[in-house]
Amino acid sequence: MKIAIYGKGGIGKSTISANLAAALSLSGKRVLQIGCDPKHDSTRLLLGGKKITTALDYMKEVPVALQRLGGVLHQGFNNIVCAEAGGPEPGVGCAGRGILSTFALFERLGLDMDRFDVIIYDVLGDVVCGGFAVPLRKGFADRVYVVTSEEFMSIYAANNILKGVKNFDTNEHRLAGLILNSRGESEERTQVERFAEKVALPVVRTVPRSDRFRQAEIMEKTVVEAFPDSPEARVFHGFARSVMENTRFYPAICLDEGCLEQTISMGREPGIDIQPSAWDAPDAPAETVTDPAADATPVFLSKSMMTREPLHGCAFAGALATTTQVVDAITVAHGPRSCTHIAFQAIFSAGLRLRTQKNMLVANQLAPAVISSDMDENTVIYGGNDTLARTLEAAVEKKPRALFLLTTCPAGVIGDDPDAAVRQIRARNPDLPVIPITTDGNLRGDYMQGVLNACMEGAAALMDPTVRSEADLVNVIAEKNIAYNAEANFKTITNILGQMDIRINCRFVRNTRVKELKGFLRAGLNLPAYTDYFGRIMADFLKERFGSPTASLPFPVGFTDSKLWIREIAAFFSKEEKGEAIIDTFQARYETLIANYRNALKNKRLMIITYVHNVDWILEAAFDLGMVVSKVCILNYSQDNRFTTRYSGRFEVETDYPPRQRDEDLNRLRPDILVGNYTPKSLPFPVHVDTIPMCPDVGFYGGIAFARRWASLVKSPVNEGWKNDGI
Amino acid sequence: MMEFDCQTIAPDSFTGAIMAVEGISDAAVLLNGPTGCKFYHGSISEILLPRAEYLDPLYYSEEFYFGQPRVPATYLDDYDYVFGATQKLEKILPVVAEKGHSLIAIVNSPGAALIGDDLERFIKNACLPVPCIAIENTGFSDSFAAGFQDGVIQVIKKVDPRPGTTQKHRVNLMGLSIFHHHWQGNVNELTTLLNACGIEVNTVLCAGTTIARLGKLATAECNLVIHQEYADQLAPFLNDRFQLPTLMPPVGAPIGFEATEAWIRDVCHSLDLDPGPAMAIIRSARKRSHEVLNRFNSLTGLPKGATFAVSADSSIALPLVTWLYNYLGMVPVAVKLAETVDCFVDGLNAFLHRIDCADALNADMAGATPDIVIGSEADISRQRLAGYPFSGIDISLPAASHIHVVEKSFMGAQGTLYLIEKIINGLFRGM
Repeated sequence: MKIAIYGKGGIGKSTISANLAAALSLSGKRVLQIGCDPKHDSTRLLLGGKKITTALDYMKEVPVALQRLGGVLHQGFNNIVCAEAGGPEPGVGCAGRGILSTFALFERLGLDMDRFDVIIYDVLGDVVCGGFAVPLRKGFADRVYVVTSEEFMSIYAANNILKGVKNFDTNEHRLAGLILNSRGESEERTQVERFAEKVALPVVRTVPRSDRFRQAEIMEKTVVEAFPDSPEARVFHGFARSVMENTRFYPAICLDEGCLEQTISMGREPGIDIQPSAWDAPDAPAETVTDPAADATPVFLSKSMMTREPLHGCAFAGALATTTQVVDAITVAHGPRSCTHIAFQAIFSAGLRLRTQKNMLVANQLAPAVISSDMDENTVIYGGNDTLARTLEAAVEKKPRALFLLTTCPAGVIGDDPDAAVRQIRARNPDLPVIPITTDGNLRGDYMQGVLNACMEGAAALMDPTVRSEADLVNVIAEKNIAYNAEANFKTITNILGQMDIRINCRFVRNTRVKELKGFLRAGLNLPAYTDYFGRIMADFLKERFGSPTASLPFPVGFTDSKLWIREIAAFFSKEEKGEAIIDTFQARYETLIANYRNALKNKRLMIITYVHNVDWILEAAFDLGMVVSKVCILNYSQDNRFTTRYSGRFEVETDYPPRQRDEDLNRLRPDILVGNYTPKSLPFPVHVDTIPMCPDVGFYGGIAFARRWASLVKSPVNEGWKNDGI
Repeated sequence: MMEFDCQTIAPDSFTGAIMAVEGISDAAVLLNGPTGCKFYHGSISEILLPRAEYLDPLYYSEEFYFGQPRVPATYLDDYDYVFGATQKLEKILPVVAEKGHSLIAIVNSPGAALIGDDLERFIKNACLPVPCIAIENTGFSDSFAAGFQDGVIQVIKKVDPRPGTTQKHRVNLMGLSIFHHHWQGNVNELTTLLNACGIEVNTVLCAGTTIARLGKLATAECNLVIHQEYADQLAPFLNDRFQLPTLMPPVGAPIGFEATEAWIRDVCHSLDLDPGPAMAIIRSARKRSHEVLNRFNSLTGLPKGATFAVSADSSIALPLVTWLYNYLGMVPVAVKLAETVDCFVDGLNAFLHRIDCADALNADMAGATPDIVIGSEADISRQRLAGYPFSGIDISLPAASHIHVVEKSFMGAQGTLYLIEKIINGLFRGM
């Protein structure tokens, strides 16, 4: 049972929620209470006044990799589990967004709601924005109580809440009734009764005004705990029984303002709130709750998310770059046009570069199948679910094989509920896979997180787990869709595999189709294009979710890597002889190339400063050419965090290289050639500089290709004339 | 081949506002938003109006810049949306102020606009030596033109140009942003024609101008509009504030010989000047055009009868379609208009009816199989995917990957010759 208790701020929701929770727990129920109020005092009386870490503070302070449910769940009176969302100071930020983030955190950490008999959401105010309406969404509260007093503003707020409930109620009603938290015997309760009559909702419980609430408050307990035999406690025990037994729910009927004013009398002096004002929490920490099952749930997070680095790009753009690779699917982007435009540009420019440099027309890069909901000012203010549903319908009319839905920051901030629109579309098109992917712009992560989510929640959702593997088929995984040489590399790999009679089954996820994704498991082995952070996460995910194995080596660059890669695959498919034959054909040519350039480059000193975390392909060429590698400097990079080399000990190496150290190193090491991903300026002395790509061309000659260039580079003037023409 | 014909996604008012400020050489946008909104705008503004000496990201590795010289950002994340970006804003303002800009515009991303951070308060509390403005809401899915003009207006309000002595025959150009392809070449070409008639261009609002030049905008005798869609809000604002009259182009932007002549005549008439010198330049270009076309036409019969498609704002589409038809004898088969203020739609519609090509308006470009496609590279790429032979001319962004060393123009006399060169070579290749 999931109960949402709504009401105007300061009306006594938290006191009622806490007492109800206490009464329910004493009747043997396992109870979870979640405070959805920035003032985070919903569970204070259940915790004996102990201060607890709110979910939002926890998210801020604890690295994602170390986050556990125990950090946000706390044990209160009679084993009631308590949590507080928390939120910003008044006047800054967006408290509604905080509620959304809290629920996303619970979901990510694997909070098992089924562990509890009763969950109580204690929710602030009068549903002012989407965040506070989260408990009304399908899957959260299955019954709603609205707390009011006799005052006009309280009834006004109750009426607003009914509007919110009405918006979220579709087929089933969830309203269970009004709770009157009385301001005192002198108060005029007839206006509450008139309101209740007009909205056809019973006052299911009246909480009388009593000094015992104040006394219990001082003791930092609920009345149920502090005065268990009091009439006030009996009110809540009775209420708990009626909550559990209640099977009657009412449609949400709300009044327009004129009608509301007519219904209830105006101009009364406000009563005295039975609730205390703000409290000073003692420092003693509350006992935390652990959930072993949840803590074992694997979490697939990008490097930036894992280490709480600044987020590079947004999950929306990363996901869009991925879902648009499924060429017979359409992606609906819910947000302002600017979001889709920005993400579109990244996809398009990669396609344009392919066309210009490689003369390749890749349709899904030049004209990606994406439709923007073009969220406007009205949508932002009044919610965008209707707009989204219309956009999804427009996409369905184009008859795609699958539909992906991505959301932007504004959609996330206003708390749109895309699942509601998705349910509508699914109901009308039961055979069409409609797949929402966690993005909310960058609210749910960076570009890489979007790529991961699109692969894991999007493309993987299409896979048929009943498919059995077939002989000599492989999948390609973890290609980089923004790499301009991805297609050329794929062709090289396809060619080598073809020589071993091995075919590609599915590319996960690049230039593929729904049918290929469905049959993903036909392949017995996955070949990672890269084994960087992305590649490793993909391999782990496919193993964990589908038991699908991935080769240990990435697409090879350079001679040795290519040799090892072929041997690994050949061994897996028992094609060792064919593999060795391929290697032999490349060996002689490689040695000839090396011999051609060795004289020019022998003993030349090479220094490398790069974001690339695997440079063995360059090092191999350098060592084979007789060059001296002075130092390899690895810069921090948002996409990877593991530097590896098989040439360990043969050169100086520094990871997390501080750029300011460059000049000192150059002066000390005096390299002949400095290699990096960009050409630096203002060097301390003239030196030949060259650039290497972030994603090199794969194959036996990947490294040696640079030897030819360096052989001519060292013959060129160390300072070109044009450099003197700068202003 | 495209599986689905989804529309190309055009930039909106958010990008428009950023381009308005980044179009001022010594002003800078400080983005209160995530890096996802930053990287594209940081990159495109540096491409369109280069300022940086270095492109190596290591030169911009300090906080807020993320390896780019332009558009520093507060890199908002989920937590900032909940709690506000107070700390980051307090920290970033002095960092950006140290860079020597003449004006800083804090622009909220669409998501940040929803939080309601009081940007003015941060500006006030920071006590910076640099003038700052806050653009708290650039709009959601509004047109690029709306965001651009709003950005320009807010900059002008801050710069607060003093009404000085009006300099006779001095003008401001407006209705042009750095987001217009070949903006610099077009400005150069139009300036050449205006200078020939004794007209001085004070500034361009806001493409390649400076804060100092904007400070003198009220000394101009009038404003000359290039693209009306990008000046319909700006013109009344300047008139109200500075009593600066604005000349709207009579038949759209000065594209093609006729529209250029009409534009320069109209300007000279208003300023009581002789258009003769500019007309002489155009005549010379016409002569060169005739030499080339005469030879090409003699050998091929083209460009007469060749078909074309245009995807553009109406201020470009009307003069372009008119010129291609009247001057080159080419036939429109598809004309797609951008979703901006449709200043010249009626005129275009009437023209297409008159030449019996009414069906071309909003016709499917791929199905129309034109010989020449004029639009953005996105339009041209879509046409390539349709599989029919044609030649493309990119006149708007996103543009082709060609690196232009010599500045190009498609306006004025030289611009018209450039279009002719592209068209006849395109047709020649397709033969």
